[in-house]
Amino acid sequence: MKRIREIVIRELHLWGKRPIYLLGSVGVMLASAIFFLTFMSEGVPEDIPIGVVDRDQSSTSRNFIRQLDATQLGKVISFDNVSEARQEMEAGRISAYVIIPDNFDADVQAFRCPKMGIYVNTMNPVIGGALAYKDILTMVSLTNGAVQREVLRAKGISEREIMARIQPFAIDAHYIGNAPASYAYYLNNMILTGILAMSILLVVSYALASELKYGTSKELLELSGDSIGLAVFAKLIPYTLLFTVLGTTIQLVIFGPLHYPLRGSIWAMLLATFLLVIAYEAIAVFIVSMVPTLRLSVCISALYSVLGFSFAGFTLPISSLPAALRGLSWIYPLRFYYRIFVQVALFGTGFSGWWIFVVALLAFQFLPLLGLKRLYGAYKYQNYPRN
Amino acid sequence: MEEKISYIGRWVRDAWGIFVNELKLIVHDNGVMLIFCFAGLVYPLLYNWIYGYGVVDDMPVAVVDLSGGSYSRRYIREVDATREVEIAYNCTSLEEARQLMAEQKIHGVILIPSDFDEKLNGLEQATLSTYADMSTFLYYKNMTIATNKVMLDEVHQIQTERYAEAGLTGMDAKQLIEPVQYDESLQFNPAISFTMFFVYMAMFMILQQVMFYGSSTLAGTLREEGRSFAQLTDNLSGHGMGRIVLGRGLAYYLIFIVLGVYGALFVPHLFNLPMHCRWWEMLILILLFVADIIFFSFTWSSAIAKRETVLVLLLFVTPIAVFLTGFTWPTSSFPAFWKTLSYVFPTTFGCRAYMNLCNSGNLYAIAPEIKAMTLQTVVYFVLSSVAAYVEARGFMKKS
Repeated sequence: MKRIREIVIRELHLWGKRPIYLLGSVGVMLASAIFFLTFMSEGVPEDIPIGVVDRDQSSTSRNFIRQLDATQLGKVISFDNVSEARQEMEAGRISAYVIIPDNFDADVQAFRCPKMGIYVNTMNPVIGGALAYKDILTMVSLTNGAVQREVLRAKGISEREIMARIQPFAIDAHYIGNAPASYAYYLNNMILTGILAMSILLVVSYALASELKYGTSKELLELSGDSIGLAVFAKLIPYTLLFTVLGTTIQLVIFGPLHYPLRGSIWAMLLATFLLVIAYEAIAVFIVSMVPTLRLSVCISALYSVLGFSFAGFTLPISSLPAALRGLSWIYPLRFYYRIFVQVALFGTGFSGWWIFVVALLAFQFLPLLGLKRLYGAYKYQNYPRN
Repeated sequence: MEEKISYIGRWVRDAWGIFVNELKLIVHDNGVMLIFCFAGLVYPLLYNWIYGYGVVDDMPVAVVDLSGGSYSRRYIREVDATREVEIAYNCTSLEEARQLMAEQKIHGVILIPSDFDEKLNGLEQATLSTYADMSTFLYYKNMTIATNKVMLDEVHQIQTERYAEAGLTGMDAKQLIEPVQYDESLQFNPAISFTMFFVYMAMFMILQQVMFYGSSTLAGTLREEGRSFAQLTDNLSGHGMGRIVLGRGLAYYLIFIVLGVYGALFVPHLFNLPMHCRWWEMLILILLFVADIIFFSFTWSSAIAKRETVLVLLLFVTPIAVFLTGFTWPTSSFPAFWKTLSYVFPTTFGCRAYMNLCNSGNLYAIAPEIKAMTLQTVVYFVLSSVAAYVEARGFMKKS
């Protein structure tokens, strides 16, 4: 117990001496949280630029444009000719454009079925062009509905039946766990936790390997009574606390004052966060054991953790990955955190729905055991190049 | 005249020496080589591979059909026929379907209420409900596209049938149902896949980050060991910041032209990523972008005093730079402050230019980005020279 206390106090002194520890954890998380929580604060983008080429210039076409502009999603930018609009879309400055043909008004009145041209930049599959497209189609069917309504009214059909004729049936869409389809709700928890994972790996592998670079590892082993297990365990206590507090703070801010949807229990999210912290610490111990030099272990931690965003499965589902790569998702604790997050925050399932992922996260604790002996050798004899 | 030639001659000789020296430093540093080789050579392949398919096909969905009439059955059949969705389960209650979704066996539910066919037969407006799994937006996208596309078709079908009963057929009915018609054209990414969306952004992002972390690691190492490049001026009697910045720059330029052509031209070509421009047009963009990221990295690495600090402290900037390219959250919706910050990164213009050049196939479309990147390059060149000058002055004062 006394030994543990001494090692912890020694670690805290190191934090005071070198600012990198607190900057790399608290500083990084603070900056990331400020960025991501303010960047997409709208949740659903508003006023996406949509181009319109109005070749008709009639009251009907102007009315269409006005209504499209009035939607929350779209903002109309007028162009004199098609090539200008096309160039702007190629340059990515508008997400879509609509061409209203000559004689549009006259053709509508005479039922000659004028054709609008709708050109959409679908580069972004989830928001941007896809949303603009939806917005335009809604306006077109509203316009069609209005024309039909006039005709049916003239025939003396009741309003109720008119509605049923214009739109025989409609869809009432529900979005489970993210009712407004907010991009912020979807991404922020996973991205901030992903950055937390990155920060844990980098700071902890820096802490472990800098003992070697600065030649202080023997001193640490002396404090622990020549036990590498105790040395690593005690050394990581302050980091476990620090990163658990950081992760907990993020969860509490997101689900508390920011009201991100959470169906299940906040305790489950906090448990998942804690398990993620110790899982990434275990990986850091493993990396430093395998490559006991500061420069390489930090590099490897960085190269490994960046890929975590792709292999967690919250952007492209793992089932859509090439078969040969799917297995790689297993080496990322972030993957299992994501599964728990979906179960708890989106579906609100109880422990029975996600215990298996808890087991998976705990399994990472076996990793350090594989390399401790090697790490002991490195700490004891410092027989690796320091740089 | 002779004086001038010898000055130019010395200038070239010094710059050459610095260039060779920097190349040697890079090659002998295995950490930097790891970043350059693994991230620079393997990441482009890996990301093209990971996102190579990029769509979710036949996403499993459950149906709760409480109506069981001909309209509801036809709707379900049509949804099943779409590329996006496949009806995998028939459930008797919404509860059962929700359970399946929580188990992630399905990613959407279509609930058809018991009065659905009744209402349609009675000329009343009917409603059906859909429930989308929001755990990734690709599920949500598939669900929305499939259910809405089929709804539009079905609505027209039902209207046509009804007008036919009323004696209106052919063109007459069509004119009433769709007085305004449209031709739609989904451009640049007709399959609405994740591939191009992500990969176009990633290729230039990798270049910038590899350059920044690699060169900063090296600059940090040299400073830590007390032999910063800025001290080279000792031999040049305090002059020659231009020589140092350009000489070092040339070393990286050489490496990054190779990495750039490899990552932004060769690998995407290998994976058949659509690229509508000519290869030399892309080369022009790469040449400019590489110059931009080199001086960008030189400028910001002035703050790096130790070897490992850059990765530990600044790796989190990567996801931020990714979002600031505007590839996902649209630029038009950036908060003003973050929009200003985005001008700091070459990728803000570079990634956009890369994507637009691939899409449009002409340099004209990326003229604004080219201008912005040129300006950025000049500004960062001046800043990095000033930073090197200030550092050299610091050393001279000490000694």
